[in-house]
Amino acid sequence: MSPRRSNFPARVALIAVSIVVVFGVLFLALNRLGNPAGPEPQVTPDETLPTIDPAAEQDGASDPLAAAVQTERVTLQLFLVDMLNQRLMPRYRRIEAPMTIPAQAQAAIERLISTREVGFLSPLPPGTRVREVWVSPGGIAYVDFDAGLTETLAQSSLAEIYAVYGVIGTLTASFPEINKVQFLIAGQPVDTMTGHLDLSLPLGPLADWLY
Amino acid sequence: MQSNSTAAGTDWRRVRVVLPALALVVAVLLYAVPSAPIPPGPEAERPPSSQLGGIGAIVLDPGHGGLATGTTGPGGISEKKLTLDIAVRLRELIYRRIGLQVFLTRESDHDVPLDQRTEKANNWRGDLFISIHANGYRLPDIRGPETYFLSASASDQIAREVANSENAGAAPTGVEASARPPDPSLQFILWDLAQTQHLRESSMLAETVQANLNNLWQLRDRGVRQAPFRVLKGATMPAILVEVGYLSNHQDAALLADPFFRQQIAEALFRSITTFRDRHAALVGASPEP
Repeated sequence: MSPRRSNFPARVALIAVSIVVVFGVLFLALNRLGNPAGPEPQVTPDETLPTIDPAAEQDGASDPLAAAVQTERVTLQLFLVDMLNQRLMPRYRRIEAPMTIPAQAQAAIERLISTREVGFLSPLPPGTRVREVWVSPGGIAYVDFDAGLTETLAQSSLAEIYAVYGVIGTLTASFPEINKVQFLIAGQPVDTMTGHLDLSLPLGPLADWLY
Repeated sequence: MQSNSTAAGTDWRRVRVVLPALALVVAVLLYAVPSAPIPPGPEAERPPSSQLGGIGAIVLDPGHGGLATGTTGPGGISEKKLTLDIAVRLRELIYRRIGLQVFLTRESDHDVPLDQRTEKANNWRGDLFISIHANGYRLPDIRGPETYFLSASASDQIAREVANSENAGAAPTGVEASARPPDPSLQFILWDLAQTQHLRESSMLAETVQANLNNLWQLRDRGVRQAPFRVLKGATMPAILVEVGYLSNHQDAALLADPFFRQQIAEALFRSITTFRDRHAALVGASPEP
């Protein structure tokens, strides 16, 4: 056996590998010419679908696909309790929210609950949950709170007045489409929240309480 | 003779023992009687002056009761007990000093639904309705009295409800005029006029009460305000709701825990009622006879 014969299989393999590499490079080059933006990046499932909050999904509080729909910047007037002057005062906030009025109204109340600002208090107790908001063609916003609100809200007239008019002021001042608010607890209409105000009918803003 | 003098001495000793005991019983009775609830006085017992200005019966509504404790202050002082105490004190003042008939929507520690309170007041044909409460809030600096009357928008809502119910009950056409119920629109107009008058009088009473309570506190006036209070809706008379301070404020809570201060609150409310009655009488007197 000569040394030349013994190298023959290795040479064939080398030639085959070279051919494969050349064809591969050519294929990639041609593919890149056809699509100047380059190939689509790898997308993880988390990026294509919004994160679903199991609690929110259970209550039907928000559509899990809402984050996928178009959003817009909304300016809100949140009526917070001014600790110095002891009255409800508007504080402005800009938020990104879905483009439907009910979704924006719900986002506004959730922001009203969670907002923290020195010298101001939310008129609603921390942890208050909004189940759903919908708006009638006549401009009445139906705001459905979790049953916990009647337990966490202080049993006094001022606490009830601030809670009720804080929500009414926020919704009617932030959305021209809303002129009255009907309060619901756990999906049901209520006569009163803590035994003071009459909430059996929709209420509009009252100058005595909103500045 | 000696036996007679001995018997006289024994009698005298008995008298000396019995007399102080009697005096003690009388003193206890005199002390206890004014704090006992006074039943509403019958019409015949009222002094003639009680009907001046058309104010003959007053309904006092002690807020909350039973499981509905309302606000609770430091030391466990509860709104429901406080409001009943002030209402009872006020009832005594009104009845004893000017002899007006006084009704309480509750006499003991039990809850009465809000609608029933107003219903009772209407059934008793009260001329004034005063709901007594104490306030509370997360901000411990808030203190002082506040007085409310029904918001006009809430009153409008009632008017609409009345109009709807009246219209629903209107007789069909073709029925004899004498057999038909009164014109619903006319009834509504009359009812609306009466409610407007009640709101005006409620405002006048609220201003008077707030001024008298402010004199007691000597603080910045928290003012008279309007709100859709359920207990004031449907009252067919001037109606107000008084918040006699904040149990969440330590100074107010200390004042309200003091029986002397509660008596002063009752006195301030009593003065407000007499002032309102006099003003009302002057207004009624000035109006031309139909």
